[in-house]
Amino acid sequence: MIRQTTLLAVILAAALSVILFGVKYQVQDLEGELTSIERGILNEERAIHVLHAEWAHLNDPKRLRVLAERYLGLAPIAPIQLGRFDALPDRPAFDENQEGGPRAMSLAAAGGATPVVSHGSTR
Amino acid sequence: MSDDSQLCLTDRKPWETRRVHLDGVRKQALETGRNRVVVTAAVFALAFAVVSTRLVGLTVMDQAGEPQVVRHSETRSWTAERADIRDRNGVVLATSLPTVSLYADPREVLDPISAAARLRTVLPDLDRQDVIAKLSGPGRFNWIRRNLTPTQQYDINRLGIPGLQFQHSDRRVYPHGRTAAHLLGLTDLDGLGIAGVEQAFDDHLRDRVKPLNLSIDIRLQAIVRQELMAAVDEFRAAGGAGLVLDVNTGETLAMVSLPDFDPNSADTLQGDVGFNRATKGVYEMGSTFKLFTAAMALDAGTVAIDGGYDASKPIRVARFTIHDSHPENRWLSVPEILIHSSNIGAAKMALDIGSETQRRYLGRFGMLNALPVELPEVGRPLVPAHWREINTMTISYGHGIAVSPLHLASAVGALVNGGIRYSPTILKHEAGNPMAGEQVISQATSRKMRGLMELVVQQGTGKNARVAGYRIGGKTGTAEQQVDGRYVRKKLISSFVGAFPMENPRYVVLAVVDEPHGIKRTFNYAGGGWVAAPAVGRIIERMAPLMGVAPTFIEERTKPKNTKPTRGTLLVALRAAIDDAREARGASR
Repeated sequence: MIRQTTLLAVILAAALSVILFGVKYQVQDLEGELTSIERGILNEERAIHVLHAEWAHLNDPKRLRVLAERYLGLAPIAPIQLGRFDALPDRPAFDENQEGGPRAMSLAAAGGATPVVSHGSTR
Repeated sequence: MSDDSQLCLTDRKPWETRRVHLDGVRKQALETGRNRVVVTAAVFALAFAVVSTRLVGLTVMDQAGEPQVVRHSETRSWTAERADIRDRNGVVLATSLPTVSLYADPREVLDPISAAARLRTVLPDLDRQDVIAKLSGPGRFNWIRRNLTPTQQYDINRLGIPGLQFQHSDRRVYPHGRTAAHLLGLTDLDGLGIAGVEQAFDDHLRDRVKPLNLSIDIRLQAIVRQELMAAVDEFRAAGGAGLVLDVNTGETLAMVSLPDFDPNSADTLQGDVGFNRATKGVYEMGSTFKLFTAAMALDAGTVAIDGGYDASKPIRVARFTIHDSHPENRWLSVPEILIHSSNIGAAKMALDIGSETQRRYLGRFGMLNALPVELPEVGRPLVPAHWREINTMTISYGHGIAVSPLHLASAVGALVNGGIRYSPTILKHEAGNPMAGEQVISQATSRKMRGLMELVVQQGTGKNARVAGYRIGGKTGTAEQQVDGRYVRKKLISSFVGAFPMENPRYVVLAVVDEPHGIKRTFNYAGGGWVAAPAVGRIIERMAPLMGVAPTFIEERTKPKNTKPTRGTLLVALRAAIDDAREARGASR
């Protein structure tokens, strides 16, 4: 009887030791991982900082102007290229009976193109 | 005895324990011992039970009661040694980048001569004698080369010379180079600010908690610099200053001083390039001051908008004669005095205002004291010690008083924004913060000034500042500079101060050119209308779309004809301009 209890106790002790040390090493591994991740984060933050400086340098207006002129053929906007909505001509009133439909009316209102008359879409 | 300890050899299996029967004292002792062992075993079993329960609880169950400790000390983020400086849109203007510098510890160096030779294979521009001296000389710390490139660092490391060490530090880098040189300033090798914003906010930057946001817009800064540079180059000028201010907050959106330097390399800091002409230089601004004379006169009520003075004959005071550059030789109304930039008219206007009132108004415009702008390089205005009648007259057209371009731009902002003067600042104004402004002229006077300034650009000396589609107002200034107490004719300060859009002004743009020379295209004239006004016009043309200012007129595609103004036309135009301003102001509310 006692022998069985002893055996049981020994087995329990062994099992507990295994579990205990298993947990302890797991925690150690995790802590090591945490430290290396934190170090990695610091490195990334420093790299981001350097990249911010690089981005600012690449966005130097002097540099962008030269590149825009050379490769895109762009120049600064002139006021003549700007408009406002209230400066647009009014839209002509919609009349269902107009031959050719509303598009023809707009063309006529814009002055010039004679509308192409279509005989309806359904026949 | 033998009966008690009978051994039944056949009944017992090998693994069974032998039963021993004892009596008496021996049994008692054994019992005691056995009990003690049982108690100890029970205690141990209890301890193991507790341990195993706790273990199971910690590993298997979630809410094990482990304290949730946030480890602040180890999870701080990386920060550079010095905080960034940014513009109002968050663009990085100055930043600290990690860098590596090389130094030698002579005590560890084995053979200085061969070490020097090998080192010079990587850094060929090192002086041989100098390096040998540093590698062998006394002391334990001699800088060899600072701010190495990563490639150089790798190669030197690979040489494997004992006694050479790297030190990691931060180096201040300005990604936009010359564009905002005077404003940002410089740091020295130890990371201490020695000029500009770097010096003024040294404590804040070394705190490195958060970046410093300036009011500058780097896009406008680049535009102003480019246009000012073009004007300075075209007219072979000694230098210049350019400013853009927000009239409703006093924020400085652009501040340029030429000639400038590259803050990334201290070699470019030669001669007087470090001098900030926009804030530290004080100059007699000339005719731009007539705006203030007119504003004072209208605000104080000494003259009405359709009043005027006789400008037919020059004024003689003591040894001086006051005359006009382009004399009209007739009676001029107040608008005409500004349009034709008449010194005689301005002087007479100032005499009516009086010295005391003039001085008081100039004080309210901030012209008598150094500005409280957040820079170390701020110039103190030169004002006359005794304010006599002759001073009043010359100050009316901008001579006899010297102020910095920032003084002028800030005061013109107060003229056009409804009469409130805001202190100029280079820090970004966060929306929601209260604005501290002082009412220096009435709103009605401000409206009249807007109309007058618009007339100067439409019909007067500021015609070259016109931009198709936009309503711009301003004033030219052409002033001779003094050398040894005498005015030199060809040493001019040519300037133009403009504001737009005139129906509801948002920005003041000022360009000052120092010592321009006339060229063939401008018929050898180098005044404000020829040199500075076109630059301001181009600046406004380029910055308006960026700042979201839409053109007022869409249909106007050509410049208006150059008609000679008569009195009637002028007043009608002025009244129309004032009415428009009033309408637009009312419509925008």
